[in-house]
Amino acid sequence: MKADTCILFDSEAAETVCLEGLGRYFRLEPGKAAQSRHAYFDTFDWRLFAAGYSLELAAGELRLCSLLDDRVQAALAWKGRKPPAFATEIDAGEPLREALEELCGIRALMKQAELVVRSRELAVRDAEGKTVARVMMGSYAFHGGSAPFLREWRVRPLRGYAAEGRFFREQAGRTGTLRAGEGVHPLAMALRERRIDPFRYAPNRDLGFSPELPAYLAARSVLEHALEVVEANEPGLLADTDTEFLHHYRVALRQAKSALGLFSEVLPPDETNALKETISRLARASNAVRDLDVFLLKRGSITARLPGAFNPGVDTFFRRLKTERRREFKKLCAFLNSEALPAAKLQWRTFSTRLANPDFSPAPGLPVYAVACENISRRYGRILKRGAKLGPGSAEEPFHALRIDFKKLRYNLEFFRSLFPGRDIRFFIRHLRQMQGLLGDLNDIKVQRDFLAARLARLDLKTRDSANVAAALGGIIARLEESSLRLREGFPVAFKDLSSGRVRAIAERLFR
Amino acid sequence: MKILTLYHLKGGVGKTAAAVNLSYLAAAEGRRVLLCDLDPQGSATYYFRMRPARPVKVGKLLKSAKFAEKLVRESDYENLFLMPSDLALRQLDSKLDAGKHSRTRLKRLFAGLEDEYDLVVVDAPPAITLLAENLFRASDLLLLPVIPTVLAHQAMLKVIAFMDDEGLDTSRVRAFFSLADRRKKLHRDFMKELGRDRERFLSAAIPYASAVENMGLERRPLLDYDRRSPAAKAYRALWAECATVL
Repeated sequence: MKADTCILFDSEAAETVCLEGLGRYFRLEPGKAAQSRHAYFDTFDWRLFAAGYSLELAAGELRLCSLLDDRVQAALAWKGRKPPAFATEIDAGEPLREALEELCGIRALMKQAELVVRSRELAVRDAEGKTVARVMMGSYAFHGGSAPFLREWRVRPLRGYAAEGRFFREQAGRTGTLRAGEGVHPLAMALRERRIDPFRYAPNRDLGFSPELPAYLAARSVLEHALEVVEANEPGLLADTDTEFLHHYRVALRQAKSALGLFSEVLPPDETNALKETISRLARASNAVRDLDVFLLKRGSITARLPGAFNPGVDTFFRRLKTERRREFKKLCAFLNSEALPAAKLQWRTFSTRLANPDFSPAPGLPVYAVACENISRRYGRILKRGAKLGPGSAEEPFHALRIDFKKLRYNLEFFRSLFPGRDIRFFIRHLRQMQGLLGDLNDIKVQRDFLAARLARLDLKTRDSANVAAALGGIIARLEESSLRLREGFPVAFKDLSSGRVRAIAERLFR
Repeated sequence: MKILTLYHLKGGVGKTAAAVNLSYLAAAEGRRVLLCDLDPQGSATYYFRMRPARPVKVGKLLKSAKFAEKLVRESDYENLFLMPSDLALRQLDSKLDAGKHSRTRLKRLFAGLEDEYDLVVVDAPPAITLLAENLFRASDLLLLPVIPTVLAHQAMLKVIAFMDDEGLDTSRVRAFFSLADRRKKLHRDFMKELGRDRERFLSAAIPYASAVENMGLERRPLLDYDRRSPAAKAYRALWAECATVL
């Protein structure tokens, strides 16, 4: 029901008092009553909620609704089936699948809340017995027997009965709290009730440094935030809910390691090197799984346009990769469940704690702004120098080195973005991202090609399956080579855009 | 948007009951229906337990669909809206006469409601006036309830003759038997005789029934409180035929 007002009540008693009061002016006629269970799904990082949607499963229907007015955007009958863990589990061509794919990407859908909803229609009639408004009385409780945390009436005066509707609202507003429109979505109220902040997990949060903040304290913030992200992703990583947990976990590790290098001037060298080594060890433990994840996720693009004759070999190869991934994942879990992880985190946390004390830093007086400008301008200068030497015929190694520079520059800009004007820094990051994408693709191709070449060398060609796999790998490697060449050919133009004009002018002005 | 008018020169033939029940049935099918109660007697308005929300200014009403829209009130039934009657509607003829386009004014007014409704049902007062002439021109289907008696039939013939004289298209005129009492030989004979004219007479016949009369007590469409009665079945059959013509 499209309501124009929502009235919230604290308790059942307040509702009863309100009904008694209204009964003096209107005939209130109860209508249909219903009870249903609503399970709400979202990704770990609440992508649907952030975009203003809720995905709910209720009464055998899976529907994507707007949080603003509860209007159904896409729906699908979903009876007696396990809720979909990924958008791709919904039939191809369904609008719901398309919407979820766009909103959630490759992230898994998890049950975030389950509510029991009781509703009852109420017809509000005048002295003649004519309905002048309709009310949907609802109460929402968490599944499992708790008392309702939300009692609301959604009121819709009938057309032509605005005056009666106004009077009804005035009277009801004496006991309840009036809100214009549809009111707050039950999911939002449920999160508030459980004190869940859907926006709490923000791996790329702006840490909000002020220019005069001592650099060692900024380093501490970066390290603490990275550790928070690592820990937030651990449960999902171990449960293997989706591949993004591992990805975010590794990005946080890389950011922490990058920060240790970036702030090296203000950090004690011995302890810093030891922590760097520990973080590298954590990252190394997950290298194999991540490489396999990337391969499996990119199957579509890697094998696109391969002749159909390669299909049997491609299928066998990816089946083997999945098996290998399972094996490697077990090893990773064993590592994460071992003493190594708590010990590493303790070392990390101790380091951060000690950083609170200026005595721990060799240069406690150095402000973060100076560190930022120096690092960014040095890194950008190096990129300009290295990039200018590269062309389509260059070897792969310098491209790889340039990619690392870009990545570090990007981390610098993300750590320090609060120190510079937002518009300029966003413009700079946008252009950087484009180039980083190209170099990242080049690197992915190199990694994939080396990975395939190593597999090819290990193949025992005596079996028919392996012969098929060898043929498919040959085809894929050839395709990757073509793509690599195409990317390298496009490099000079893309790089020119970054090394001249407005981007360079901004860099010279901002980071001088 | 289509316009269906319930009209007869003679009063008390079951126009209002038909207008109310046909509107209800059309809305139940999912059409957005506006029932215009243009009869100052206001029986359709009474059946829906309504009163006008504001005083009706007939001059304004005839000039602007926007003003007409302001008079519309939502019924208790989904998709069914009503423009309630008011005693002021007795001025319709004089106001039509005083204004421009006096014979096509209502057609122009209804055109302004095109986006809002799928069907407008008009409950017209019983007289051949300028208002009736407007409705003859505006309607896609002019539906005449005919009691199977000599006088009611004569009145129907007069309406058709008038339309012929005025050069109006009578192919949009249909009649149906109303208040038909099959216990009476006269009614049976008339229905048999006139019913042969398939071009003009629809086959559905609304019986004379206390269930229909009870609408005045129930103050709601017959189909809402007694959907299994023979009269309810007859209204359903009548609507099915009207829907085909429309």
